[in-house]
Amino acid sequence: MVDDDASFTEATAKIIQLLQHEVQVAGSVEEARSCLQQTSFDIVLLDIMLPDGSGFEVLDSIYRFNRSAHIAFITGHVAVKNIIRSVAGPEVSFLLKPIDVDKIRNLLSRVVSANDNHEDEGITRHFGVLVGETPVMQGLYTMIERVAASSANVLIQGQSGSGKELVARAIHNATGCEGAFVAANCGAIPTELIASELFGHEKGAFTGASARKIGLFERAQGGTLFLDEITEMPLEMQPNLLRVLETGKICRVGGSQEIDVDCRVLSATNRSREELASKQYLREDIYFRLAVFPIDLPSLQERRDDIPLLAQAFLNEFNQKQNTAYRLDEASMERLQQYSWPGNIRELRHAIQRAHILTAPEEALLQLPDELSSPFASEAASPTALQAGKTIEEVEKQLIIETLKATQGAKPEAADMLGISLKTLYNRLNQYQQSSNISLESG
Amino acid sequence: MTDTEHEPLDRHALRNMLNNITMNAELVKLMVQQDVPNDQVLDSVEKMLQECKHCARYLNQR
Repeated sequence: MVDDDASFTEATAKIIQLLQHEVQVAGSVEEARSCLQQTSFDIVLLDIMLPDGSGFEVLDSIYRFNRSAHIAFITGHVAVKNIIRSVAGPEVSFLLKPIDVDKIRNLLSRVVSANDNHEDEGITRHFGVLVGETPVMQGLYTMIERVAASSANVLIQGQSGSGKELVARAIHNATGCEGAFVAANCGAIPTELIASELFGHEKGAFTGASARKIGLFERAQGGTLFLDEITEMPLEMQPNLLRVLETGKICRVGGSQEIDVDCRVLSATNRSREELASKQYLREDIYFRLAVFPIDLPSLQERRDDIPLLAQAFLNEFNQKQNTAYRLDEASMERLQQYSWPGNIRELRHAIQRAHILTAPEEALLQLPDELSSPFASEAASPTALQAGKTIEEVEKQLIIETLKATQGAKPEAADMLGISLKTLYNRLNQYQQSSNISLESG
Repeated sequence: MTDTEHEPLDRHALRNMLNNITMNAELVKLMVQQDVPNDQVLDSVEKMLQECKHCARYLNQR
C-alpha cells in the first residue's frame, strides 16, 4: 500500500491483516520502489499524490519488478478514473474513498482468486475465467478489452451452453470496477415479481412485502448487472427497464424516492439476431439500449481446437475437487474433438464430470463413456459433418453408416434414401466388412 | 467576517479526514467481530475521536 497518510495506512493495513492477507506500507515513491525491488506483491494499492512525486512514477517499478501485480488506485473522486486508465491501462482497479471493508474484501478476493486460477498446468484463464486460444477467442478477448474500457451496455448472443455468463464475468473482471457482479435469469423470474427483483420494494408495498428489499440494480451499484435470457422478459415489463437504462434512476416498488444507479448492464440471449428482429422478443428501443456493443459468441464447433484445453481445464477442476489425478490420453482427446458438442461447453463439462465419476479409483486414465451425447444433444448430434482431408470412399462409407443408423438398420429403406439399388448397398457393406470388422447388421 | 474572508475549503483534506474516521470505524467493526482485545479496539476509537476533533477544528477555521 503506497500512501503518505499514516493514519489511513495504519487503519487499512490492520484491516487487510484481519482479512488474512499480508501487507507492507510505503509512504513515498522512493519507499515504494525499494519495496517493489525486494518483494513480490499480488496487489499494489496506490495513492496518486505522494510527497516526492505521483503514483504514476511507481508504475515503472511495478512493470519492471512486479509485472503480474494488480494495480488499484486509491482516489477520492470518480472523475479521475478515465484519466488514470488512459495512463495506467484499462486493467487497473479503483478504491474510491470513503473506503469500507467490503470494497477492500471484494478487491482482494477478486484478484487473489484470479491469480489462483490464472495458470493451471499451462492453461491460461483469460480475465480470470475464459479458456481458449483459438483465433476466434483471441478476437473475443480483444473485444472484451475494448468494451471494458468503455461504459457501454453489452448484449451477448450465443448458443445455449456457449459460456455467455463467463464472458459477462470476464467483462466485469476486465473493468476492474469495485462493485459486485450481480447475475439474474430473466426467464426464471415470475412476471409479477420482475419489478420487485430488479428495482426492490419498500416494506408493505404489496401483500407479503414484510421488509424493504434492495433490488438487483442497487446491489450492482458501481459494478455489473448481468441479465441472462433477456428475451424472456415479458414485453410489457420492458418499458420499465428501458426507463432505468435511459435515466440511470430507479424507484423501488411502493416507494416514491428516485435512486441513482450506476452500473453497467450486460445482457444475454440465445436467440439469433434474425429472431430478435422477426419475432419481436425485444422492443426495438430496448435492443438499442442494451446492445450498444453486441458480442457474438462462437459455438464450440467453431472453436474445435479449444476442446483439448477446455477438457483438460475441466478435468483439472474435478481432479482438484476430488483429490484425484486422472489423465486424458490421446485417443480420448481425439474422441472429444470428433464429437459435435451441440450443447457446447456445458455439454463438454458435463461429459468430463460424468466420466470423472464413472472412472474407477485405481485407473490412471479418465474413462470416457461409450456414448458422449446427452439426451438433449441427439437431434443435432447425428448428422456427421464432412471434414476436409477425407477420401471420397471414406465419406461414402460414413454416409452409408449414418443412413443405416437413421433407418435403424433397414437396408431397403437405406438404399432408397441413398438413391442406390439394394444390391449396390449390399456390395458396399460386404467391402466394408472385408476391410474392417465394423458390424453394420441391423439391431 | 464575510464569506470572502474565509479560507477556501480544501475538499481533499476534508475527504481524507472523513475517510480516516470511516476506516477506523470499519476497523473497530472488524475487530469486534473477530474478538480482538479491547485495548486495540479502544485505540482505534480514540483515533476516530481525535480525527473528529481535527475535522471540527478545521471547519471552525474556515
